[in-house]
Amino acid sequence: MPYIPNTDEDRKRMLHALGLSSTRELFSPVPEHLLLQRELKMAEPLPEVEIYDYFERMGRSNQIFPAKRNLAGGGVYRHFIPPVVKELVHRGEFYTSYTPYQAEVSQGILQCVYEYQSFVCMLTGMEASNASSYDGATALADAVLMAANIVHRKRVLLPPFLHPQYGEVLQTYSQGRMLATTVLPATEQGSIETKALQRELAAKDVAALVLQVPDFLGYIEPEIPELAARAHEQGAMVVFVVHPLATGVMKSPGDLGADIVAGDGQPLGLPASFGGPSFGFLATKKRYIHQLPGRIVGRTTAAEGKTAFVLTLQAREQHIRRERASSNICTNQELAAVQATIYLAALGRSGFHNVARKCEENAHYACAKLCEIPGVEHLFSERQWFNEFSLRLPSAQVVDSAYAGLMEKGWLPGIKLGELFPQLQEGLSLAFTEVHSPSDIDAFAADFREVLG
Amino acid sequence: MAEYLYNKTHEYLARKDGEYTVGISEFAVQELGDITFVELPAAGSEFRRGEPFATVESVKAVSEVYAPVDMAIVSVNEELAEHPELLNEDPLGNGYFAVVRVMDQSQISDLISDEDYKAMDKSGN
Amino acid sequence: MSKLIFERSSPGRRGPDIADTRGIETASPYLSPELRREQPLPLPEVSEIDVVRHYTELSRKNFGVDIGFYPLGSCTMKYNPKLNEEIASWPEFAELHPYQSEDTVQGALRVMWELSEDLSEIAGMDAVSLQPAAGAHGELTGMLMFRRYFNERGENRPVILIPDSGHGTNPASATIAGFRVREVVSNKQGMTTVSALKQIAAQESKDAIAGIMMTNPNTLGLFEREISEVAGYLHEIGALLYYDGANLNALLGYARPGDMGFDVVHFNLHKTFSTPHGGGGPGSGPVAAKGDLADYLPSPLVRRVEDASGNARFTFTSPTKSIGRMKLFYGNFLVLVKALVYTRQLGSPGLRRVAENSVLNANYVQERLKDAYDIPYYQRCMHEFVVSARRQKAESGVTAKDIGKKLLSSGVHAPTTYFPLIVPEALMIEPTETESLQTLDDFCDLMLAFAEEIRRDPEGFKVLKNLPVHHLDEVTAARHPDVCWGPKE
Repeated sequence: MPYIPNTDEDRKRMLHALGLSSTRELFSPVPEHLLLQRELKMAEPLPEVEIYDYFERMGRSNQIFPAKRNLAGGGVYRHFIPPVVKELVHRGEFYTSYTPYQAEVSQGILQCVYEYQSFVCMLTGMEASNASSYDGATALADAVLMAANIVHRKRVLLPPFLHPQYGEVLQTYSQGRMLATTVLPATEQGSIETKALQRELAAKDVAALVLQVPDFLGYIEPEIPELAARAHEQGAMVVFVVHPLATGVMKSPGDLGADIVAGDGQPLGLPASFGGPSFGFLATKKRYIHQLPGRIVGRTTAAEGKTAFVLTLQAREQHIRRERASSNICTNQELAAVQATIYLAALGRSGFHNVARKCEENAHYACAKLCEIPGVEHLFSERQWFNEFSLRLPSAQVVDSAYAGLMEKGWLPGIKLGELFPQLQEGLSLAFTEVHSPSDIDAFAADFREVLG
Repeated sequence: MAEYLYNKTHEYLARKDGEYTVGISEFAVQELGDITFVELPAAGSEFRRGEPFATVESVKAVSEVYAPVDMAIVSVNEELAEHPELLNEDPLGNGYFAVVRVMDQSQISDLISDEDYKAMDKSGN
Repeated sequence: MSKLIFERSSPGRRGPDIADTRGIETASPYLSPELRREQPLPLPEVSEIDVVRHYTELSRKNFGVDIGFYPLGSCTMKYNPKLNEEIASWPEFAELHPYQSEDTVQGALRVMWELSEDLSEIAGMDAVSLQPAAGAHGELTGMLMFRRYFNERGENRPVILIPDSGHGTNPASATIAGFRVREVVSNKQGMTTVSALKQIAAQESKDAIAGIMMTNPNTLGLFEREISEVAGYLHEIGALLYYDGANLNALLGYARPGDMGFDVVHFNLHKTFSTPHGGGGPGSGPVAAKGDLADYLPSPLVRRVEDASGNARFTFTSPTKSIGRMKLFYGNFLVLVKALVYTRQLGSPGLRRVAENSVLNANYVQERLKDAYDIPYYQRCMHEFVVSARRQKAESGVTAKDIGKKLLSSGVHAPTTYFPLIVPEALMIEPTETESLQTLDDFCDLMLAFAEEIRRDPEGFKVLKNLPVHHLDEVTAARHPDVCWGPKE
């Protein structure tokens, strides 16, 4: 039997030592009526060669779009991952280890996490980061619950085009704590209606204003510092959800007024993976570190004055605080966070700048190119954006037929917005990264023109 | 000279020059070990006797601190929030938690005197 | 310690050139001055070989199952098959985009459906959501389902019962879902009993109890013998049972939570189903439910449908009373792929061998250690057992922590220490089925030699050698947290 090293002879010896004659007797503590009297109804076991065939067959019924032909975003982007990243993160010393509770034999992963937290603080302009949340959406839920605990209020303001699944996860998480959410109305250009924001804030019951930068459609609020200042004036905290690569071209959320920053780490060197695993990052100012959920690694000293790393502030966490803990998170997404750490180290100062700028550059080229096509309009042409934008086509039917036509030509042509936002039936969102060269974009534009015919 | 009065859960109410402060006893601090963090309430907040008003953390434990009498927080010891080690060094002095206003003077007589507290069998707690 | 990657930086040094850099050296021309970053972020400037050596060096300061014996109780640190890793890395799975249409991801949905079917059968449940990312995430899911279930029925039941041997995540999960926790005291044999539940019900009123969260085998490694009676009683008063699947490894193919009376179950794929812990994650904590409770699972689930000509098709569906979404997209999908590789490779007979050998290994080690160490709840254990170092502490001043650290310095990972809370000086030992008799004997020999050394020379025993660092100052770390590196002025 695979993975079980004991031989029949070993088992016999061990049973003998226990005074037993069969393995069945080991289960004597289980009441007879609970013992399953049959085999489980499952597929027959397969040897390794056939496992390969089996999964190859399933793999073949998935359609894989080459990186250059994958233009879907929505929080998950197709970037180039330097081979050095995969090679290093796949060392057994990392991935077969448990949570580093035993610091003496876990300095490697602990230091990686300390470096990870440092990178997150650098990108977000915050001072304290946890060791990861499950994903961007649960990180947002954590951030909002944290804000509600800090300011003792129970209402949250959401931007009009927050990633719909982030909103759904937040809704689910809010059930236990009875938080209420209010979605802010949008201007014609899709940004937050500031008068409405002012009105909501004036009720002085708002725990947090959530800003997603860029939002699901790809756009960046024009007056972020002003929005943040208004929220602060009324005693609300400001929670950012950010695309981590956008911080390469944009000021840090901390400099724009954020108190807590959440986001999804997939763009930092992780494959799309059908949506998971990625990881959530969550960072805040140092004065809120005791309210920050999840593990945190700290730097300290050890015997002989050596510098060392350790899980710290554990008294916040569920295994000590139990029912009084503000979060129940235990297992997180550590290895994915380590993968992002190695990615950021490999890119370095210039590489990170270049990848971020290239995403922006390619996407802006694509937008201009596509908007030359008759019938194609930029959805919010007056807005600022990073690597993702939305188009307006003549009708929902045209969106469907263009999408189908482009699929036939081997493109994954973005995301149809009508399925997610009823008011955007004619919308199509597209994302571009450093892997989409101008010639790829020209080819896409030509095919687009053809399918609109 | 301050006068210290205690409750059974090891918090004290100290009176000096007509001002009241609250904190935890030397015994409590010894039981808790190295204090790493003290979470203090907001000035202006009010607590009923027996209600938790602060938490104290050590590396592997967390404990709540209960109001010895009905009280309103006048000001908190910001120094303690910054330097939790003050609680280990000087629990009755610089390690106080907050200056409070006693909301029901009659409850003071229910507290335990310094002398009786020292003589009290604390093993049950 | 090793230098930080930031401290290896040298101005102008570069890693791989990913993109053509012409024309993009400047700050963004697209953002307004108010929003634009003017200078690149101060990430480290290192070359690729610096990165390789740095993280290779760090990996060598880490202990994993690939390095040695890891008897960490309740964590099931079994071998992580390389076959799982390989298949999950195939582009046919790893490069799928979550916004692809259903007809282009039929293979992925099939993986999810087959795993759901396997998990349902293994646990004796009716439906599975693969969304939760970890055990605690599954617990929160289950508690929110309980909450919604009672809300729908117009019942206000604010109390969740949790045995005193329960995992720390249990009370936290229940509270975050809006419940109040009451601890159930175990009896002298370490078991949860109906009479203990009745006592609480008498204090709280029967109608106040929403349910119980239990681990079975419990964290003492013991099978809860009264479980059917416990379930019968709770169902009779209208309450529900949640099964924390952390210890399911012991029962695979032998007993099923559904047959015991549990209504909702979570699995830890990163324990029972051999996917790696990754230094703390990503894991996966699917949740299964029985009967009416299945309607409350998070959406989406995967359903198999057949067209007129009998061809199977897989599609996402939402349960009618779903609590909503717990996580982005479809859970930690690649972890699901690994778990399915495992169940396909083992099948029913293989899973039963897993349970047998995990229980055999634990009992064998318990038997060899039982004279040298106290085992407060000594009896036939399941996949793990809990030793107490109380005798060593009383006689020689050596604690469970000292023994744990000594194991670390001897090339073995420490057992779980000081848990469960009901055992003083606890060392919780779970060998798992993927260890051989030889490894177990080596471990037992070591533990017996320790007991001897502790008697003879307790002070000498506490001296730690061979550890890169020891005696970390956790107090200063917590008092004055240093949690991120910043560029020096």
